[in-house]
Amino acid sequence: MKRAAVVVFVGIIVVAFLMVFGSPAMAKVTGVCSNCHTMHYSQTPWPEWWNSSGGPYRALTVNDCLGCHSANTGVTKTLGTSTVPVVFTTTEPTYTVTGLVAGVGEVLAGGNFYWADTSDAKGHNVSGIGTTSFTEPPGYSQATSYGRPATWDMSKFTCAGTYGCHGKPDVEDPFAAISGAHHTDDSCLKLATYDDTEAGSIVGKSYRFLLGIKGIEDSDWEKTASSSDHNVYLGEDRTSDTISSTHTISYLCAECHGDFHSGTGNLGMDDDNFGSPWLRHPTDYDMGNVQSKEYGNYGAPGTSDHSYSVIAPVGWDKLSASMSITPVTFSDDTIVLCVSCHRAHGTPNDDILRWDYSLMDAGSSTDPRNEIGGCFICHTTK
Amino acid sequence: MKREFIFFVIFIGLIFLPSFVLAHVSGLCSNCHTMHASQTPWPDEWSSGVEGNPQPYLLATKGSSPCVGCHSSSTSSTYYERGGCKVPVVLYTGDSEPTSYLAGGNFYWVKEGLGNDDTKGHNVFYNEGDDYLSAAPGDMGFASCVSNCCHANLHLPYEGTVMGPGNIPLPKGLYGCQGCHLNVKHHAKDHPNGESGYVNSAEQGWYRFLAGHMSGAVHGVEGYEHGLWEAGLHDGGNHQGATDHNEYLGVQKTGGYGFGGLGHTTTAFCTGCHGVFHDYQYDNGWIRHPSDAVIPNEREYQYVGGDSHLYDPLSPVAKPTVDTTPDTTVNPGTDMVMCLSCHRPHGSPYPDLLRWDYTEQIAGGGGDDKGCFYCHTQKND
Repeated sequence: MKRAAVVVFVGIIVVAFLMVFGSPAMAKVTGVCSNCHTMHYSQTPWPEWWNSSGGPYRALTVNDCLGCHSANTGVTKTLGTSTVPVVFTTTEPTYTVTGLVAGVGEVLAGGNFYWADTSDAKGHNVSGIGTTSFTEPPGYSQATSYGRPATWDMSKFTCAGTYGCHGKPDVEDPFAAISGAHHTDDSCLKLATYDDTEAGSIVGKSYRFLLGIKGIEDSDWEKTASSSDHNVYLGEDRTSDTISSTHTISYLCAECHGDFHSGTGNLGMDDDNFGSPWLRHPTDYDMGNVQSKEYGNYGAPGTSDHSYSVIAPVGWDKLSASMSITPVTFSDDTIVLCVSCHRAHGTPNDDILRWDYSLMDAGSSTDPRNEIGGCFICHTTK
Repeated sequence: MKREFIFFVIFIGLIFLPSFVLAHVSGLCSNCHTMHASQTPWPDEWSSGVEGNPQPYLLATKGSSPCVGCHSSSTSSTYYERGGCKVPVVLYTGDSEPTSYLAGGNFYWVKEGLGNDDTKGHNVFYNEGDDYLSAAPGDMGFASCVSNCCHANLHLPYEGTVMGPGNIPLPKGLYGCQGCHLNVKHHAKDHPNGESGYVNSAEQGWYRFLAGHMSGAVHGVEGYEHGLWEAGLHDGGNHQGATDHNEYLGVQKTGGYGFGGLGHTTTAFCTGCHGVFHDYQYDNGWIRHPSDAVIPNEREYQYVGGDSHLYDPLSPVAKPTVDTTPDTTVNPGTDMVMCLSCHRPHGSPYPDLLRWDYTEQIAGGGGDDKGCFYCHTQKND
């Protein structure tokens, strides 16, 4: 009897533990359908969070991409009862441009399109935001090698699809390119439940709906971020200046900016002799290969244990459930990425840099990593 | 003598031979009619307001319209018997909202003095207009055809001349129920009262008397009518796999409206007033909820009705063909979502005349695959 009671007690504890810790946190949308959808675009009275012009929208949404993911201010907003990341605000966000802050905790990981509306150099000019003098993305010459069209049409540059970043690149319409993703069970992209075989398989199970890209998504889009609370990016420790993994975050960037990623001769990050001196800043390259140099001091400013830096993030070549995400060990977990230096949407800095490049004053400090940050989080002795 | 006797027996037998009544109504004429509105003594089952006050169609009951008197009840929200003839109830006037109703729903929720909510039913009662709408939502521009036409409102008699079924002018002053049920033929020869049957012609009165007018004057809705108007199937219980129910015809089209565009379907009938919702439902992708569109046999929709694909009267679908044997299953890849898959035409407990509580349809909220999730089977996961 006593033994049976113990078994029951333990069973209750186990069940309770599983109920609290066993359920994966998913980012797929939740809430009443009318938070985001209207069946006939004719509701009376019209909900105040629905867009009253420009519709009806495809997928029966109440707004387009920017409409749902924009606000007057803030990094998230509420649509009905659903919390939505904000990537475009009509008022300027606070963004500390020094290499010691670089917008961390002030904008989401991707930044804010606000600045793209102020200057061509400060963000991606997706449809309706600012203007650009570019006729094609910088570094686009090898686009077909990355599955993009041979000729770019800047007038079609948008959030998703063939002329965008999110969703299916072989589908031009942004709604169709992203269709179904918001409702997909994406627990395979969460730290506790990461599943490498599922990650990247479909749009809804790809990192931030970037088809094919693997990664671990921070639950609040890095609204709050620290060494132990951040996105986890997939990188690759390449040994040649060629396209290899198609699942890294840098590969996604390379789909449009491929000349900066790989290629022969003057294309890519190197000439025919792989390694320093580089032709272009390396990406998908592990600093563990050069740990004996200054890069072996990589770490978040103000730390001494090689803590992961959310100011200058790096990537892992392997992701797994419940993996350690800080500190780095310089063993295929210190991979420099495009997003080590850039944000995807927009920043107040030219070239969409995370920090103000003009503050990176080489030789002005004896401890540049901790006193200046930015570039010097990796280039620790310059 | 023997021969005459045989003839006499045959004659008597023919007189008393039971005649099969193939009509919506059956029973004594006096169940529903009074010839002169002066009967003495006045039958209890007739409305007292009719005595000395004759009503259209010689009806012996009186309500706010010719229909309401018979098709309302304070004791039953589904049907009752009137001299042996079963009468469907579409307006329940009891003390509290009904928990069981017919396929079309119940006007209780929109009726002033009862539910009193204009978002929950068609406003068919005289002078009880809609507080929010000045025309049918999704009107294709027909709201201005004549003054107070039914496309503009259902609560006031129309003024002017409108061609009706059979290209015969509609009676003057129609409104309310007769704004939709244009071809009322209680005595049409279709199927016996209380029994189910397939209806597909004007002579039979069309499905539930839903006929066209103007360009649709010789057209109407075809369908299989449940003999008891699906009484017992709309009581909050689980009736998936029901063996007898209405069966609706559908025609797969991404655009168009009216019988000419969509055939003899209920969706075609709905588009007579709400045409924008179908004619402008697709633009390089769905921009409004599909209607008369095939439920795909892929993605989450392939699981409609569960593993056994059970038909659910709560979320009915349209069939490409209708016969006298209603399906107990729903078939993704051939069956269609339609207007009635989500709405009830008379009234419901829910805004927008929905069949279920939309505020309880929670994406990612778990729960049964019912309501929206009957088709969108994975969005509640």
